[in-house]
This record gives sequence, C-alpha cells and structure tokens, in this order.
Amino acid sequence: MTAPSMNERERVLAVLRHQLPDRVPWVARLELWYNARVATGTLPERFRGWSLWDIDRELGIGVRLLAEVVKLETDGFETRTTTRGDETLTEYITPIGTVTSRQVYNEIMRVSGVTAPYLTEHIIKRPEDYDIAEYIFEHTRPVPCYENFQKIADQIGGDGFVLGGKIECPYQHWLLRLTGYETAFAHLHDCTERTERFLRALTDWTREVYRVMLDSPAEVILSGDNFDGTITHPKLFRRYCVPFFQEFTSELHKRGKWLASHIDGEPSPLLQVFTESGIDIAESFTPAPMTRAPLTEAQRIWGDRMLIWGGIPSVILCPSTADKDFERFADDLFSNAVPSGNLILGVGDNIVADAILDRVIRISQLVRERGNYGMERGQSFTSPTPRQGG
Amino acid sequence: MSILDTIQQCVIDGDAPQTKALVQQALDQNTAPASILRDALIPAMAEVGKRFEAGEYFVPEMLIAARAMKEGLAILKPKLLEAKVQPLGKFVVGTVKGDLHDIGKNLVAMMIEGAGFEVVDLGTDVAPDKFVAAVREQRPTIVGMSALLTTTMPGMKTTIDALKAAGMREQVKVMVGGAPVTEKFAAEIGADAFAPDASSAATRARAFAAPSA
Repeated sequence: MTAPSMNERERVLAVLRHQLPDRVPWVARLELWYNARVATGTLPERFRGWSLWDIDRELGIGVRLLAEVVKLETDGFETRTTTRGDETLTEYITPIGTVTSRQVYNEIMRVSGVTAPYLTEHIIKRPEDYDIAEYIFEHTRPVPCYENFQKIADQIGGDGFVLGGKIECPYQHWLLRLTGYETAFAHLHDCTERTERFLRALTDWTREVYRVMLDSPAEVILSGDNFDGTITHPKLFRRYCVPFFQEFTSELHKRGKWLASHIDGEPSPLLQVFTESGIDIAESFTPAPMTRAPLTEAQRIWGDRMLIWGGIPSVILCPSTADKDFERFADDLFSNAVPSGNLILGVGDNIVADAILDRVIRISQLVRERGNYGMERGQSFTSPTPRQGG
Repeated sequence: MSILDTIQQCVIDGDAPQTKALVQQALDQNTAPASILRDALIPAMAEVGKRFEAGEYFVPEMLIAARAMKEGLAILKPKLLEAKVQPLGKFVVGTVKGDLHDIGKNLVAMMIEGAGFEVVDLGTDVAPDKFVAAVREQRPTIVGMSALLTTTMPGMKTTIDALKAAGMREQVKVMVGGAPVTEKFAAEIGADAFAPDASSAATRARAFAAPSA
C-alpha cells in the first residue's frame, strides 16, 4: 500500500460520511488490557511508564475513547453509600421511601482490568419501587459537561476518535441498571401497565439527557445499550427501543451527527430490526465464535445502512485460541470482511487482560498491508452518498 | 384437552398462578406426581427449549416459563419425594472462581431443572475445591461451569484438574459455557460438553442422563 494519507480520525469520519478512506480504520479499546497490566505490574518492560494512548499509538491502534458529555445533578433525596469488603450498598432515601442497590468490585475484576463494579442487587425489586424510582428521576437533572470532551478530543487529535455519551436508551437502562433481567421480565409480564408507565416516565427523563448530548460537540453519540438479541429480542426492540431511537436519531441526523449503539452481546436476532431504528453504528459488534453472527453476514444484511465498529471477537486475541486459528480468522477478516467496507475495525468489546500483544501487532500489520477498505465495491465511492448523519 | 395438556400449555405461556393451581388440581384428582412431572412440566420446558432454538422464544419467554414451571414443581416436589420418584440426574452448577456474572448460569439451572434434573446451585465465584467438595457430597451426574471473563476461564481447567486430582473426574460429566468459551476451548481443557446457551445445556444434559434414564 502507499503511504497513509489520512489519520485515524479522518478515516473514521470518511467512513461515517460514506467516503473512501485510504485504509480501514483500526480503532480499538485497549484499556482492559492496560488496566490489568498496570494493576498486576505486568506491563511489558518496553511500555513501563507509558500512558495507554502512547501504547495505542506504538501498536498502531487508533485510540477509542468515550467522554461523558452530561453530568447529573440531584436534589430532594439523599444518597448514602456503605462499603464492606468488596461490596458497596447504596441507599437512595427519598420522602416517599427508600430503595437500595448493591454492587461488588473484587480483586479478580481489578486484575482483569475491569473498572466498573458488578451490580448484584438492583434498585427496583417490587412494582412499588417504581414510584420511588420515578421520584429519583424527577429530582435528577442532566446538565452539560462539554469541557471534558473537548479536552480529550484535543489531546487525541488525529490519533483516534472520541465518542460522547452518558447512558443507554430507556428500555436498556431499566432492564440492565435499574431492575435486572429476572425481575424486569416478571414485572413486564405481571404488571405490564405499571411497568410501561414507568418506562414512559423514564423515556421522558432520558429524552432530556439525550437533548444535552445532542447539543454537545461530539460528532458521534454512544448509547451504551449492551444489546443482546436473545434478551432484547426483535419484538421488544421494536416496541420499546425503535420509537426512542427514531426520535433521537432524526434530531441527531439533522445536525449532521451519528448514533452508535453498544452491541456487544448476541446480535443475530436483531440484525434485521436494527435497520428500522435509525442507529448508524453497531459499536463493539462481536461476531462468531463469541456470538452466532458471522461478520460478513451482518455486512450483507446491513449494507450501507449500518456501520460496524468492531468485528474482532476478543477471544481471538487470547491464548485460548490457537495461533493457527487466529491466523485463519485474520486471513478471512482481511480477505472478506475488510474489502466489503462499512467497517471500522475494532475488538468486541475490548482487548482483554490476557490478550497476546503480538496478535494485536499482527492485526495492525495486516491493516497496513491488506487494509484495502471497500475495494470490493470501491467504485461505488466515486459518488459518495453521505450516511444519514453526514 | 386433558389437565396435563393444560398444565403444559400454562408453563409454555408462562402463566405461573394457573400452573400452580392446575398442578394442585391434578394432585387432588389423584394424578400420579411422576406423570405431572414427566407428562406436563418436563415436556413444557422441552417445548420452550425447542422454541428458543427455533428463534420463536427468547430469554424473557424462557424466564417466564421457567418461573411457572418452578411454581408447579414447588407443589409437586414433596409428592415426588413421597412417591420416591427419582430425578433424571443431579446437576451441580456455578460460575468459576472470581466470576460474578450469573445470568447465563441461572438460565442454565432453570432449563436443566425443567429437563427433570435436581439442580444444586453453588452460586458465583466458586473455587475448584468447592466444586470438588460438591461432587464428593452430591454425587451429581453433571457439573456445569460458567465464565464471562477470559481471565476467569482458566478456572474451568483448574477445576477439571482438581476433579482429576481428587480421583473424581470419571464419576461426572463436565459441561462448560459462557460468552468467551468456545467448543474448541471446552475440548482442549477436557470438558465433556460445551453449551452455547441454556437450551443446548438442557439438551446435552438429557443426553448424558439418557443411558441411565
């Protein structure tokens, strides 16, 4: 290939605008690997004292960052936290009652590079808790915090891409953060009217949060949805997610911006229905063998309507995958998926703690040597059609 | 439609109160507890699994059906014990050491219980010696291990090695699963089966129990 004529940020923007980049963008998250190596003192000698971003640059990976562009201000209730050992209990004390949540952060998580604690008890346990949750939202106000985004974007420059974000869509927020699967689906089945009324209230509140994100300097907003199509299946996605996304993306697209949704679970059942949502990017898309979705199948179904950011399942980089299987995967990736376009190459959802660094370097090498993005249908780029957001 | 067919349909539809009421009604009508289990509850969950594999049912429907099945089973259990009805086998399950992610494990436990097994759930963050102790005490047909983190996956091999060291590996089948786990990895660490989802786990468990069933 000829010398690169674009930086990583320009490549991402080119792909988003449906233009031909000089090669496939390669923008992956290395923070789990980095955090784990720092936590365990196992950062390779040559990287001792280096920042995450410096290592990204050295390895030839575009830096992928998420900057929160919204902060939440509360009044009218008290939040009390108590930590014992690995477990933290949070009490939300309101005038109409108290709800609690518990989360755990243990040593294994720390040495695995995980920074977010694991929720073991959600605040909504009984239908009665919806009243208290609604009160909490009514007394939580989203306010802009754009300075941080700009600061990070300036630091990264052309070496990567910064997404703006804060939370997931209302349905996923209810399911994952507030209620948990078993209780959530029991409520939806047993007390549908009350649950849906809460979801409408949550949607109204989330709309305010997204409005702040809309006005932010971020070109791409990340909705941290963690979709898994075996859980949020097509019927649920259509009923509870599509209307929200359509409303938000129509506003976003008017401003020339794009929406990415974090889809690191099983995507197969949702491949068709995603295209109804207005979502522009399937971020952290994780194909087989970690899910049932072959990357090229998603590319075929989505065509130009959705962009995939991901495509490399994290286990492919780990010792549990044999060298010859990694090479076979990489060859297939660069022979079939990369030339098909509509792809920002990344890892779903992270380069994990035990990833073999030589394999990451090998991907970077292949990106340089065989990253002939969209060449299979490259001629279509002679008259670039902007994506919805562009 | 017989009462057993109606119970079956109630489980498939996830109607827990009706399942519970009908199981009680069937018992009151002197239907054999074993028949309620084998001709209503187990086929219902098998149908749920079939629909999951066909892409007609998903996790929410599976959870709701399993809840209905459990409600019915709770009424049935004392009668099954009285009648000395043996489960299809015993399944010991847990997430491996350090791993707290229990959603997949819980689904597997529900579906395997629905397949007619007695389930001993060791919970999350289960050390190899705890799995070994459970195998020693419970004498299960199958041990199931789940992991979500690549850093905890090696705990599966460590547990298999611990079972070998304790001389118990041949007494039990080992089934593994979880997002980063692949069929190949399962074979490499010496597991007997890999289950990509809860429904497949139940199918494989039934296959293991088949010779003695």
